[in-house]
Amino acid sequence: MNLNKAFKRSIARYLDGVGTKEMDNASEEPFTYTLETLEAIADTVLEEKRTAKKKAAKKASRAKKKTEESDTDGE
Amino acid sequence: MANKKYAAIDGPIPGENLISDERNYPWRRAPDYTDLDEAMEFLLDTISEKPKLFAVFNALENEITVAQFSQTIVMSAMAQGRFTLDFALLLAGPLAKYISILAEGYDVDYDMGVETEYMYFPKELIDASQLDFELQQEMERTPENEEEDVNEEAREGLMNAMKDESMDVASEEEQDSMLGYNEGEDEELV
Repeated sequence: MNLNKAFKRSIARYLDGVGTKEMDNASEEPFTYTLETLEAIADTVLEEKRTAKKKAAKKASRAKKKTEESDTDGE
Repeated sequence: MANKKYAAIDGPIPGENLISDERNYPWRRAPDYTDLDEAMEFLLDTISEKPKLFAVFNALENEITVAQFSQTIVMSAMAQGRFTLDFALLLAGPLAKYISILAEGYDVDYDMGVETEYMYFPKELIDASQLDFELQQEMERTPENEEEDVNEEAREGLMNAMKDESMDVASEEEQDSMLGYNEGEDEELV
């Protein structure tokens, strides 16, 4: 297999949560940086940003709706 | 012309690579990290340094995918003799995920570079398909699917019919009658 393909496959497997067994087998203790732990870290670190983004998106959609409604009333 | 001649003299002799000492290359020595967690911590430390971190974001903004970048980082660490190629392959996934988290944190647009519909087949599925294939082959071999051989009896010969034990064999009396022997005739002869 091509090395680039092997890396892509390895990353895809990790992101799908499949390749954890191989990692646990590679060393005596289970691998700590699993997908779940990294996602948990991301949730704690990026929670504020994600909620702010969601709020901004909601505000934008509401503003769009309002402008559309006002346009239809004007007609 | 003179310069070219000198350059040719300084060049390697054919076969010089076979006798050169390559034992001290970093990837020929034992790796620095033999534990996955330690190797991962080393990678995280190297990436988290600010000048390198901004170099990462700069690369991501210039349409280099996360997968490509994590591959180059891992391969360079391997070339420095930090860990083996197997470790590099295993650590590429968590490193890519970590880079994506960092990029999201700093509001940098990134592309993972991994096909979402990537086709990989787990070992269990391959084994199951192999079993299914063998079953199909067996089904093809079963007599139900075989075509009826019309000339089978003719090919086997006349005497082959006698081998079949399930066939009804006529009783002795019937056989005698078929051969034309009657009880009355026998008595007359005696």
